[in-house]
Amino acid sequence: MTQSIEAEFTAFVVARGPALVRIAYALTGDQQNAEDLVQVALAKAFARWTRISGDPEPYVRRIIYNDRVSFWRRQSRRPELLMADLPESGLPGAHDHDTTLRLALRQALLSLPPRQRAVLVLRYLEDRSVEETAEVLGCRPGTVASQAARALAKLRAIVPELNDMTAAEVLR
Amino acid sequence: MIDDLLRSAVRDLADESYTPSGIASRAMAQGHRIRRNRRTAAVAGALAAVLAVTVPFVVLRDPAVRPEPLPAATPMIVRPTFDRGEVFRGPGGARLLGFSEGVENFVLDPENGYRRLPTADTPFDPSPDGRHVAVGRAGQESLQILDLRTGDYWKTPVAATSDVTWSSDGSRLLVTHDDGYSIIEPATRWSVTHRVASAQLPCPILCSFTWSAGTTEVASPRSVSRGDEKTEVSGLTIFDADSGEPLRDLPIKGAPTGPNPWSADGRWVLVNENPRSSGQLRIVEIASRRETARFTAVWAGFLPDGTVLAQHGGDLTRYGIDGTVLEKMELPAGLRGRGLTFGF
Repeated sequence: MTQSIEAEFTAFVVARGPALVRIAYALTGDQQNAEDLVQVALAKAFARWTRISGDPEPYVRRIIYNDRVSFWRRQSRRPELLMADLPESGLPGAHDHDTTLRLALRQALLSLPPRQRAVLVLRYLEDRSVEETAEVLGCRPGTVASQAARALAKLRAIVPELNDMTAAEVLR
Repeated sequence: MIDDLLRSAVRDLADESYTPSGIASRAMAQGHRIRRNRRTAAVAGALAAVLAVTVPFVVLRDPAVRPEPLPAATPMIVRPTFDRGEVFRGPGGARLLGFSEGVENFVLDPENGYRRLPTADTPFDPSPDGRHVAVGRAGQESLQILDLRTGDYWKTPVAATSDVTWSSDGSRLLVTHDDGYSIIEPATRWSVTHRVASAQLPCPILCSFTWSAGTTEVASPRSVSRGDEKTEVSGLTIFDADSGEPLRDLPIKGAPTGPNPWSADGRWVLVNENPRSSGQLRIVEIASRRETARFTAVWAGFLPDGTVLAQHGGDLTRYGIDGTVLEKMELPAGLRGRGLTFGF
């Protein structure tokens, strides 16, 4: 019995682990922190594996977001200082305007408080609607939209080129 | 479009991650430790839990108070049409104040039906009296109030956010921030912002303030953490709207939800028991904490007559306080899938 649970859990981690780490990386901006976040979430899920009905992935994802935002709350509004280094390469056409803008945006994303970043990750990486994002974060849709609006305002302040562009999706 | 850029940037960031090795075995080892700790705690707490639950029940049980069975729904389905040139009314006479359609937003102009707002505006909420709209404008950080009669914009000193709630009379706007709230009074161009210490208000992940009665008090849920990942609402804290001082706590175990969650007479409140599972709403009598109805809705709010208007999918339903279905309306095709704002 225990062996079959462990085999099932391992198969789940092998199949979905990379996707979970991608989410955690987008939330933390750091591989080690992302792995820690995912490992803790998986451990919590494993501890009650037999009681999770259906697909365990939404359960694990929810713990990841909750732990990330809760961690930040426990830090008593300490300023966010995580600023990962820019990758040396990996994006084609590194000199064109779009790429420069995306790199600047990447840095700006890392300067956002975790819950604002969590909203953007849910909206843009996971393609969740405002309502679904609100459900994962346990808040009202209006709060999601306000966090998104604040995130956009901060991104625009850091990357002035964004001021000329309109945002249609994130605020609705 | 900034959305495309943001999507690319977030995905580029995620793509920098790589697949870790051994995470499954480490997680299982940690999971076994969590299980062992839980078992130890469960054995130690079992007796206390049994006493805590059974003794008060035996001592205080009142045989006269029994949960009332919810009455069967008696739907009388109405299927109205929608014409942008005329005011659309939902069940109970609630006026549709605005709706969004793609990137375009429309608000009610009582003289001319629904009019399109400038695309530079991101409307957050029209006031219930149809006089004002709280809007954000591209490139501007402050929340603005558009006067629909004059067309004037008032640039408030309050940071732009869409988590806004108008008082039921439309005279005041409540704005939720990360760490507190602001009150805006468009008629007098007055505003005040209160920062609430996080220790004073442990909200469930994100604080949400609602008007609690009239225009003088606001409420926010407090949370308790049960276990590693579960957060529950333990009660509500009521604040004086103008001073920001906490006035009292209410032992309501649910977060007020929707555009107008408190009944006009202050006796009832609409809550979401678990802030992580939106959609399951309850009507609770504040004095007795008794639940009188439970239903599924994406939003719901009290109408002035004490009944509740709710939307679920493409239907609008008006409920009595005991959950009786009083009216049911199928949204016309022109309003399905739109973000709707009704006046309550």
